[in-house]
Amino acid sequence: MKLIHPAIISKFLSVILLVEAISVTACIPVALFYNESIYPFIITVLTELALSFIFYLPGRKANLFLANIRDYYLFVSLGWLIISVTGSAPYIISSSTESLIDAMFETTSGFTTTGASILTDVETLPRSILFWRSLTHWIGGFGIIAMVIIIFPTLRSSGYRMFSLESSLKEKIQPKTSSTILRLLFIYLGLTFAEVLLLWGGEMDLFESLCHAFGTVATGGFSTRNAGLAYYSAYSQYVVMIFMFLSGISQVVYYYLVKLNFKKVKRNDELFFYLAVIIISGTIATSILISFSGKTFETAFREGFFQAVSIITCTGFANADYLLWPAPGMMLLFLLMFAGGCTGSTSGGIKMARHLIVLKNIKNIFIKLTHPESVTTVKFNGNSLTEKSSNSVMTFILVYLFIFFLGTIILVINGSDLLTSASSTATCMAGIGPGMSTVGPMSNYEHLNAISKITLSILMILGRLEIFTFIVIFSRSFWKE
Amino acid sequence: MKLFNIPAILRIQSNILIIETILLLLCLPVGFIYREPTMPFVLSAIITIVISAVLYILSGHTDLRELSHRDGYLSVSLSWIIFSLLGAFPFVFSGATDNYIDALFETASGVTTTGASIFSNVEQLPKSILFWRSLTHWIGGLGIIVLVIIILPSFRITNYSIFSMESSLKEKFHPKTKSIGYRLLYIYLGLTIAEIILLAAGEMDLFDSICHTFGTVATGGFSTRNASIGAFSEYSQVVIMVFMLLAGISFVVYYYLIKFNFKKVKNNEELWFYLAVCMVAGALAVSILIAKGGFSFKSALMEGLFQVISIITTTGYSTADYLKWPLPGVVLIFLLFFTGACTGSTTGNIKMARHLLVLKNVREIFKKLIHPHAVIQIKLNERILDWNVNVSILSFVILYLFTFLVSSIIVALNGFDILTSVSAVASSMGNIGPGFGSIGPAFNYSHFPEFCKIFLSFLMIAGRLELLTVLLIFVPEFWKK
Repeated sequence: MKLIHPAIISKFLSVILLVEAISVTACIPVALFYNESIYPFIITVLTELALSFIFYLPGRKANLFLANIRDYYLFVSLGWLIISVTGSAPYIISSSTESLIDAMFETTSGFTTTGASILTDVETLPRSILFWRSLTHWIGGFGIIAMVIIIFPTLRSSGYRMFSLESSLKEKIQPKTSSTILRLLFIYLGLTFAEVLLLWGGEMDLFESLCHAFGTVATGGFSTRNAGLAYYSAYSQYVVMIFMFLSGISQVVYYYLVKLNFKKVKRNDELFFYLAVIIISGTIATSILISFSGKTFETAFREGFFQAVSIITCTGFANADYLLWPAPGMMLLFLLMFAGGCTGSTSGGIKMARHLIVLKNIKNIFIKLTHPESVTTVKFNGNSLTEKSSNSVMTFILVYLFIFFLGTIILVINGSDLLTSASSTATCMAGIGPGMSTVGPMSNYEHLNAISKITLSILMILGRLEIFTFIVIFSRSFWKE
Repeated sequence: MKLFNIPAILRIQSNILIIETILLLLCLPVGFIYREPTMPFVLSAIITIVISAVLYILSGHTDLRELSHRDGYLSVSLSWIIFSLLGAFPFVFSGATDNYIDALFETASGVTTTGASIFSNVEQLPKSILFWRSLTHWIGGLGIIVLVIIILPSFRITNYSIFSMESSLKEKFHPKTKSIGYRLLYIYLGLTIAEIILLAAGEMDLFDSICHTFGTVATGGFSTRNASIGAFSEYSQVVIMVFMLLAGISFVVYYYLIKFNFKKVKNNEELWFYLAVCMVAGALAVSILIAKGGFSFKSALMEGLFQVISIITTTGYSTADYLKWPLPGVVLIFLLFFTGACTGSTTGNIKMARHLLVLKNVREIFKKLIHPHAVIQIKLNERILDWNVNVSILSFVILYLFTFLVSSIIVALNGFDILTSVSAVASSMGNIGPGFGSIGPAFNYSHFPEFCKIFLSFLMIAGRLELLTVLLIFVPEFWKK
């Protein structure tokens, strides 16, 4: 048996590039409509098709059913890298960005649904480029749902199985993976469509509605305005806020809702924990804004809840400059940068399920300290969790925090101040977008040096691929029998 | 059955206060020799012994063997608190400080072997007060060894029993706990006497030698000089460095060494991990100082190694102001604020065994990602670790970091900059002493508001008692049947 199958990986990559080429093609009508240059997109499409063909050649005879775990890990990481590199072509050709690294940062940020930008003035860019920018979010968001709900569980790493589809269901649907993908796609499309309509009903035009809907359902955060959502009316802000909240919910929940299986939804601990965290942190933010900065209730409520939801779901849209908030509010938002939405949604970060499991384990330990003889089990979504699963969840969090620490140090050494470094590392790992200090919601990442930008791009992919999937490639045992 | 055996808890406090009275009386000879007022100690001793007598009468007839777990946890936390409350009197009576809160902070810092001080000029304090200050270190260090090696394992908290004596040995020991206590005392005394002799052979007088020895073997950090160890010759610095390193080694190791059981010592993974971390961190610090700070090799070696060992063992002595080091060096020191040395030594913090276990868990996760069906066991000291123990250790580390985060925010809300608040909390929880920002090695904690001093004192005690012991008291479950 071979360790890895280059032919299979090559074939997978060829498919990914084909999908990307098709999505780039979607930008051509936009360019034609607004009388903008279509060459950036045509050249990109041709390059991608050529690359796709090159990858297809060695893989044409590969049997995809022979793919093993190592192939998947390698493919997932390579796939994300390759689309980030090739997807940067339109920015470079249209000279929207100043350097190659900037273009790659922007594309990585798009595909990983981060939303961190190096563009200082987005309003002067061609509409078609802005459309491509938002489209990368949308594709990345769907890619991640497919990956977490379908690919990861087949890898059988206990850490993920628990969160995705429940095993009883998974067994039933495993043979028909493609039909599950289609259903998920319909849910995703449905959310997008509903938001586009609602936004269009407000003061946004169709183009802006599309771009913001892409940014919302993918929990990305690219806007077509420099001021972000602060540019738009309260109505649009509320619509975006609600859809950010909806996008933070696991697609598995929607899957069951569509099937009218309310019992499963009721048993989803993570969902209710997510709701509770949003309500509590939103209320805290609102009361801080009312008592410290003397805002009216409506403004405080809209700003407080919008920012809390935006950061918890790892979207990163801003309807206010939270750097102007009072200190306790800023600290709250910094803490929330480690939250994340539900597993199986497009949000990044540590995610609610892991936080919940840690809390349950800590509670368990206190019970055990008081009653040493008692037998306790940690339950999650109605099933009892094995200690091994708890263990891998907690190891994940510790590794996450350790990488956050390392990333911060690298940025500090490259000359950023402490708050900028810490917040940009946290925000890129979780896929949020804006940070604090010099990378706040009203500024961008353009002023960072090349090493910082590359580090942050890698952190985005690392965070997006749930850390281990990416790091495992660099472990010795990955390349050993 | 009653929830708590209150008479037994009171009796333990009464016993602790008798020990404290004896210690206070030990300061009288020092006062006589240096012709200083002895009234502060006489008064404090009288108050202490009266309270002890009252507690003894209140406790009535009680059998200490009828202690439940809850009684144990409560007594341990209470005794540390009561010792600090009463041990603060000499500072107030002697006029060393006119603020009881300051005195309390100083005593808590002493007993928990932290070494954070509120005195800006220690050289003008009476010698007897300095002696009392260092003596609190020494007794606190002894107390923690007895607690972790003998008392906590008897509570059967899975978390501790694995680290301390191996269970095979412990079972043999159980009936004769007293004899282990004596042996540990001899080892502790042996280390103390050896260091006093070595220091007195240098330029220090007997008084300075004793005080610094107390600070070293207890990994405390109170000095009799404002410049800390920087005020002494290189010879003294080397002696103290070596003894800090020795004090960071588990007393269980010494126990086996004396019994000539070298196999057990060889199998003690934590010991080798601790030495490796000291060497790697030391080498890093030395090379940073040479490359970026322009130090000569010898001064870099002395300065780098000393601060690194001092922080890892959570002593907090300093021969130089590390805030003036090049940035990477400062970052390294900050990282070391979360290490701690071996379990079963006098050091505080997260400790090496837990770090080692986290690393082992990470390694296992990678193995499992690639070989999903592999049966995985984590070993420590050649013994297979129970999953239960594993989960509780990981929870501990996460709880530690979480407490650190929340406490930093509480301190920052009092108007301190991020670096000061973060390092004050890390330093107090880890029982180190100095921090960063306005509480660097060259400064002290006197400018903190009273609330922060009380809060940090609490954190010192919580960190000293391995967090869970103290936090447990705040869990509702603890007060319920």
